Amino acid sequence: MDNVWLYNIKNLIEFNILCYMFYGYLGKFAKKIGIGLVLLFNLIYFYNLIFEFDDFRSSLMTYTYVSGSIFLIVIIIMMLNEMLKVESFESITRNLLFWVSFGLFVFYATSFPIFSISNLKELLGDFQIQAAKILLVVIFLMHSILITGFLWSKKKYSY
Amino acid sequence: MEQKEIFLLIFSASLTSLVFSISLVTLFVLYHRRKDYYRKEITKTRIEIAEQTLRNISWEIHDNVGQILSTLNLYSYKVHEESPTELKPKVGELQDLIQTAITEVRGLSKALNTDYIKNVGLIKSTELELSRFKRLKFMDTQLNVEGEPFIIPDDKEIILLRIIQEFFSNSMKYARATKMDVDFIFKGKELRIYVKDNGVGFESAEVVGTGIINMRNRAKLIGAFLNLESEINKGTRLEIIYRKKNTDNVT
Repeated sequence: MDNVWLYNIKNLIEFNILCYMFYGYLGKFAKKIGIGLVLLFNLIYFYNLIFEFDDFRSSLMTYTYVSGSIFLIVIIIMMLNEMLKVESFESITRNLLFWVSFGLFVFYATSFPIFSISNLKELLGDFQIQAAKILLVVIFLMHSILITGFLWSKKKYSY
Repeated sequence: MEQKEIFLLIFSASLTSLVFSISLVTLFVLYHRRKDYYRKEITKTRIEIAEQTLRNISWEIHDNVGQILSTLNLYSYKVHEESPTELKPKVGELQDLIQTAITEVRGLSKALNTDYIKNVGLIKSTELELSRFKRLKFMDTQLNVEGEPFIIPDDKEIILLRIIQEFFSNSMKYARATKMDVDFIFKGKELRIYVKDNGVGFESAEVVGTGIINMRNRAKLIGAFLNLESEINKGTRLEIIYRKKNTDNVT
């Protein structure tokens, strides 16, 4: 658990980058909500960092992970909603962004219940392995979707 | 809580989220597909209505105006016989004019009539249209066919012709073109159509009229690629690429 602070920092960068990636494709109103969510996430993150610094060093910051996942899912749903306005059906299924958002959506929606527990070992004991297996399946699923997207998408349909 | 219970809780939460996320995206895709289908149907219906209107106009021209002109032609022969000698050349001119009018009206009726186009095919119809322009001294025309033509279903042929006709009418209305080149290039399963005029041209990015939108919608309906390039004072070039579909043989 010595390197867990690295994961905590990674989460901050990861969520901000992913939100930024989808942010550009949001509509006018959705952009305002998007900014609000990103700010809220950073606020929660730094609140935890400042007031629970010991936790930051010793365990996964579950609040930030869960809130980050949920905010990201909301942003992805808003982006999919924006995509509905696009002309043809083919332009959606051949669009790389659609597949990336689908993969991330599946991963974050399924994994956040597992990451919401900071100390799996204490709480789950032997079942920790089972939880890891679930995570493995989800990661496999996400990457399958991403690979399908990379193979299936066409450049001319990208945004 | 027992360890097992906690694990079950996590497992069920994950599973629910997984099902939720996958079903949401599936619904999204299905909705989009249905929307696309409806849009295509609407465009199809709109084009069918337009074709029906054109066909009615064509019948009307052929049966009504055409008949009146034919009767007029018959009368003119009678007038020619009975008129005094000094008036005969004038009546002769009148007869010529009536003949020209009959030819024009027939040509127009043919260009508008879908059934006629279905019978003679895309290339012949384009040729007739171009010869009409030439005859009316609208512009100089040239038609070029390369490669071995393959069969294109009637409904798609009509759509291709309507796109070309739209381009013709735009060239005459706005571009004041004096020259029109049409190339049909058949290569394997692909048909490339290039239509080029020497009109005033336009800024490709700026002008998006109903004509251009119609052309694009029609091309999209039959799955053809359409590209319109234009340069000010140099003319406009339309490129259509139609790829023969496997289902084309069935229809």
